[in-house]
Amino acid sequence: MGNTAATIAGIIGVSVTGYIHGATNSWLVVFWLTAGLFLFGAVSWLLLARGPAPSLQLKKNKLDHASSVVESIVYEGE
Amino acid sequence: MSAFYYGYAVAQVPAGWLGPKIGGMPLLLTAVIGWSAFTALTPPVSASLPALLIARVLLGLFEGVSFPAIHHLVSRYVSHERQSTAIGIITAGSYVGTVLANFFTPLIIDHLSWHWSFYIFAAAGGVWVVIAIFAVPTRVNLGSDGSLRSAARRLVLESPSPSPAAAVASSSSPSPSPSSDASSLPIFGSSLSSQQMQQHQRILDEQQHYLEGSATHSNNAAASAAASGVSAPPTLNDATLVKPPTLHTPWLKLLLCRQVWAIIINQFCSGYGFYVLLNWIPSYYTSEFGISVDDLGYLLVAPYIVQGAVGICVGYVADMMITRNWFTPEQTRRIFQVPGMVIPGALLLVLAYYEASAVFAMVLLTVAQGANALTLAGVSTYQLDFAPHVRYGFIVIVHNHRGHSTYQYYL
Repeated sequence: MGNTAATIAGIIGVSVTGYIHGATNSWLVVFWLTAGLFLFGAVSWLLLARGPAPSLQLKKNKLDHASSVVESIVYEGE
Repeated sequence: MSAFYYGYAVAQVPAGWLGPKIGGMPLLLTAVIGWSAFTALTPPVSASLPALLIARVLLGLFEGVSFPAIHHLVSRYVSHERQSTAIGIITAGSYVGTVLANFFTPLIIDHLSWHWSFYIFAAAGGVWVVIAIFAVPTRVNLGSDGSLRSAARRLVLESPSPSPAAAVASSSSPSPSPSSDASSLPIFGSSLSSQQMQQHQRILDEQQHYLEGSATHSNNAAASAAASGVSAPPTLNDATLVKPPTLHTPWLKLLLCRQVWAIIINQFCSGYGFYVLLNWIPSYYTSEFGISVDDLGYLLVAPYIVQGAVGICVGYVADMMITRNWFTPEQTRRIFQVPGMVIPGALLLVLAYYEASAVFAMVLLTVAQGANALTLAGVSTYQLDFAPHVRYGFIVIVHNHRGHSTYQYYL
């Protein structure tokens, strides 16, 4: 899904850039947009990528729970 | 040109779903065979536009499968504390591929014809498949059940919610069980992964061999050394069985989860930047600095060399930071991801207002793209922290596509 997002971003980015550069004949907006997205990504990371992994896989069935519990134990034990 | 990307994008999610079903290695083999075939078919069908478009979409489909397959392999066969390293090296391999393709494709076109650039890359894929089939066992046998039993014991001790008896019963049931998978994983470590990484390097070696004899050997030698240096020698005889468990993907829960959105947003923003730079920077150089396309080679290649080098190192450092308990995984991802986005963003803004010379622009872009490779130990590995083994197929399909994008550029 993340990869799909990156690929879609590629399709959009390449054509949007072509449009902007064709319309303004300048790279200013192109660089601003790209830089803005990078910075937006950083901010969103600070806001969203925190906290424990949610229990999304845990309750679905016990085997999954088992796997993640074992995983975390082994991991912490290393 | 964008036909390829449609196939590529479409393939991701089903590929992530297929990985656990049929196994990462068969999937990866299928992908490489498929894309090599359609690469080789491209010149013969190029006279007809519809046929060409179909070939491009199918090529994209098969290539789209490859990174999910690789991620699946990494998630399954690489011990947790080495996953950053593995992701870093594998992705660095794709940067090196970009560099080599960028560098050699014009040479091939000059000396032979554009048809040959397709045939040669397709042949490289074919060679990889042969090596992969003979060198990597795709099925391995079940080892002792010691790991499973200890897993069950730990469950009894640790698991609060299900009753101990139920936990033991479920985890020792004969059906394909994720717990056996997870518990055997750190123990048997990274034997397959090292094969995988070596394969990945090997395809580059083969490409290079096909292309120009011994031209830039040191480059690959260094990469291969890095690949073999980080992992144990492959001893697959006593390797573990990992039978793909049947999995349910909680789609809705994933979409409601903020960490998943962090991953999607960051991949989107990073991917946007990557593709814009990849596809438009050549025009930028020619329009702003009047450099002819033929002279662009080194200006274009430098950022990817740095990106590859950073990619190789960054995962190793991240793994060390976590295993030595300097930082938690979450802190480590933040330490890499945030600069990996902020530095390229800031440098692009500098570039927007200050255009001294082509070399200056190249230096800025090189630093920017090198910094962006820090995200390999950020978002790219975060997914492995975040959904250990269980959902691999689904979230962990994030990756880049650097190796082949150059095909587009030269078409």
